[in-house]
Amino acid sequence: MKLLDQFTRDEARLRLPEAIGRGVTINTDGGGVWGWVELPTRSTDGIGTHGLFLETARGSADLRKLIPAGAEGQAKIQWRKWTGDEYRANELTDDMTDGAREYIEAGAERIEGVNFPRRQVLLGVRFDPGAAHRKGSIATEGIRKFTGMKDTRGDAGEDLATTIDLVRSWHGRMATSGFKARPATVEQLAWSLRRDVRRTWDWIPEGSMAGPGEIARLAAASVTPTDDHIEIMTDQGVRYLRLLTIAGGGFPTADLSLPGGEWLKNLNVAALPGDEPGDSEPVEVSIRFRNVPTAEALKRLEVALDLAKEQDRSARQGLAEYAPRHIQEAEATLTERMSEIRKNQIGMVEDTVTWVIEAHDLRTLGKRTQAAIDFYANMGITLWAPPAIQDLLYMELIVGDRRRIPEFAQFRPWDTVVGAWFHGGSALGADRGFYLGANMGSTPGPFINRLSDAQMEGNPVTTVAVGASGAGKSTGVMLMTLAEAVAGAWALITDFKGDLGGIVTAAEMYGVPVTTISTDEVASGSLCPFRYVRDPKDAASMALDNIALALNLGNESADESLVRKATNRVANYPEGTTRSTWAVIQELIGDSNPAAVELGERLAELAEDPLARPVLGIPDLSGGSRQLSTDPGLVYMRFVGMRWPGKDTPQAQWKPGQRLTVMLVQSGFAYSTYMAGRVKGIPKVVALTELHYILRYNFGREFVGELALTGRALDVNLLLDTQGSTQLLQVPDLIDQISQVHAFTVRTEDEADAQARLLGLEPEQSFRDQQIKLRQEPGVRICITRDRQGRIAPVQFDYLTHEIEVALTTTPERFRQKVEPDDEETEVA
Amino acid sequence: MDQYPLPTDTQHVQLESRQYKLGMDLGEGVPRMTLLVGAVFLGVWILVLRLIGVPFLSYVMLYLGPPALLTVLALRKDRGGRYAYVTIVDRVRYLKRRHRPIIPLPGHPAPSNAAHRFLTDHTRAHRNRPRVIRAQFHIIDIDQVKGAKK
Repeated sequence: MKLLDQFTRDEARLRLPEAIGRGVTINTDGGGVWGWVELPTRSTDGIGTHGLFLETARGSADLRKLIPAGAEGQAKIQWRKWTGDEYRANELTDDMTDGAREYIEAGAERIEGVNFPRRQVLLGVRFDPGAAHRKGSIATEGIRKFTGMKDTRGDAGEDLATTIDLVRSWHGRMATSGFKARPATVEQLAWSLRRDVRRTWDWIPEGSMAGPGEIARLAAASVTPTDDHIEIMTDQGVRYLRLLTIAGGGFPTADLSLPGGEWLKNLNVAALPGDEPGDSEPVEVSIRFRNVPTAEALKRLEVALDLAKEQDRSARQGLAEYAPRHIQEAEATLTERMSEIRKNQIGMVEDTVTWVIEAHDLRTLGKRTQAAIDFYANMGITLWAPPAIQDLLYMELIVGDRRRIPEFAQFRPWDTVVGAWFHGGSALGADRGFYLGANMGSTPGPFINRLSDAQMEGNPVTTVAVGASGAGKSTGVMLMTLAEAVAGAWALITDFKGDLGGIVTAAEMYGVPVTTISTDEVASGSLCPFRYVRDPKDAASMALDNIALALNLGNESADESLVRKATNRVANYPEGTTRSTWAVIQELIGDSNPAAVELGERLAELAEDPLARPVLGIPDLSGGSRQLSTDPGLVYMRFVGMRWPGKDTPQAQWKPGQRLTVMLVQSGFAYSTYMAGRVKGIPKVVALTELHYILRYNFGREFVGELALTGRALDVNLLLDTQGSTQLLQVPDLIDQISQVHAFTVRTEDEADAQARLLGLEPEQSFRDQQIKLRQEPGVRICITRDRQGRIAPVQFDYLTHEIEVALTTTPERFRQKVEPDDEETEVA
Repeated sequence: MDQYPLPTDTQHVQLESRQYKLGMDLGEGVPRMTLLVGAVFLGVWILVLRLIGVPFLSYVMLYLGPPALLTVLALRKDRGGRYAYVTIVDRVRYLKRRHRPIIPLPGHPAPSNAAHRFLTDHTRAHRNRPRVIRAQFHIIDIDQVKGAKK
């Protein structure tokens, strides 16, 4: 009866666990035996609407079947912090360079500085056999209780023995559910208890936890309840808590729905404007629930339905004529609900939800409380802080205790509790790798990744960064490439726009050997295939392609035949150092065929062009055999003075400079790929930026497709950066080579749809809107990332240090140039 | 399906019932809780007045007024949507659970005399005794636990 519930309060003392094991806690003083599992963070932020519905339905079905009918339970959502120690422990090695060590340390400090909250969700169910099983007479038990003499450990063992099979079975079945739950560890349960009574964030230090058969003690906690809040003395001073629950009639009966109604997904509800990192954390939530047996649920609904009908009849018989509208709605809803239960479509749960608001002082506590209340008011949910029972609500939170106040319980289908989405999350990235940025999803944390681990995992080796100009792609690419180079990979990055030179500065800060190749400064003939391709026949074929492009020769034309003969002659030179594209030109000039001579003379003139010189020019051997080092380091390849053909201009109408541009790019990429293939025994990353410059052309798309396949064969990780997601999808067979995607903001819906396909999602209007509005402010550039496991979450790349940020900033600076006035300066109006 | 509903039936199973007829037609109806609480207050009040010996007909308003006023006050809804009498009962129970602080928090010195103690015991500024929570538990290896024989 509601009337009785209003006055029912369990004021007994706090029931703490007397024994803890893996996945179980025991209290022999009325608290019972509880089985506990952890609901690990999954990747559900990006599953789309259809996926959201499926997972909600599945989760509801799982819980109503897996939690015994009539059993009590508790879900605890708590937060601790990500620390840099775990990152250091995983990444620091003895054989690291000083620069690499410094880089990892910078990442660890950033993880700690950003103060990422780390969620822990525990789900517990009581499997209490009741006191009847206990041996000994009632008198014996009474004496034991009266004198306080009881064998806690023995009693705990007895209780556990009678229920362990049930607990184990439940653990097993929860593991196979959609939640992929696993038994909660002793450390997780102990930490949860410590968090509640001491408000400590820190994880249990390694080695400090007692072992099986031992007794663990938490440091004593001083908790002072007051009328409207709780005060807890901590090592950092007093912490103030206020417990909120749902007001009577405060939860919408029918207006909440998915998507959008995930009422426990975002728990940053107590933040205030102006909060610095660490000032406020996500709110903790405790859900005490009871899985209502079917018969009981039907009975309860039937009683309510009878009352509703009685009210309707009474009203109609009198002057009122009609019962209030809520009576009629209740009749309809109750009838439908009973039908759903009878058809086994839903199960009912009784739950009490408590939110924990925390602050350093009372005034801030008041503000944060109001912020949380306002947040939920926008969802149609009314929260309040019940006075005079804050202490009971606090005790209810704690592992091992029980529901003390039935008055605030909500009665509803399991779908509404599971649809709150306090589970799930935005898991992303790898356990090991570099800290590259922040996971900005519903379960924030460091985004850890290492491109060069892809092939070790058996994954495709291509990563793409796509989005509009200025969206942050190049910065993300530079940071990923830098991380690899610092860690000892062979990394190469191309630069068409000339704004990525900062990566050289950043790499040198961490002691990375850097080689800079600029097409306007590189030695004449240094990109000639004969210089670096081992097989002269292959070199001859590549040289023919370059010359054909430079001269715009038709396929199978007579001119092509003349050039082919010349390249083949050069390929047969006995002395390797004499082979070069320039030698091919000399062969043509010295040919007896006037047409060949003319071709040779044209080429000789073209070879003077700065765009052609690196490929066609007279070999400059003064620098010795110019080949890139195959040792760890960074190669920065800059293309200067490119003149791109229009995307709709037929190749036959390209101007000479445009043909030479394409030839130079083709040669540069071929050189990079070839050199990458020669590197052995260390990770290799080739970052090709601003690919939209070449993807607009058929040859460009074919080239990139071949590059992706070649990269896989040569064990080279490719990092592709482009504005054209739509163009990227047109590259033959590329999509099968992509294992990781970073999708930055776009300007058109077509581009957003292309990004959706790259991410493996169905194009939806919500995604289009999201991508067009992705947050873009100075220093804040978010991308939607799909990792190699196919999980999706938003990521913001992190510069790690101010020095790296200054070095890598690609946004042009504008500054006023100060003009010194002349002595005879006239007045300026 | 464009939306996945998340319904809650609490209000449906906690309907506030109204009495539409009590001998005579009551029009739009009177909440039964009002009638019940009013009846309780009226019954107790009548008993008290009869014990004192107050005549009904001479003091009709005295018989009816206070119970009516008490009923209105007791059935006001607070911010949590509860009747005021529930909060009153909770406050009384809370006072019983409170103890004078033995270990006062810094800035809250222990009361110096009986009058001070009385006032601090019953004012909002008074703190409950800090409860010292000492958590101690055995660590169990559940893999070693065998189920009880049935």
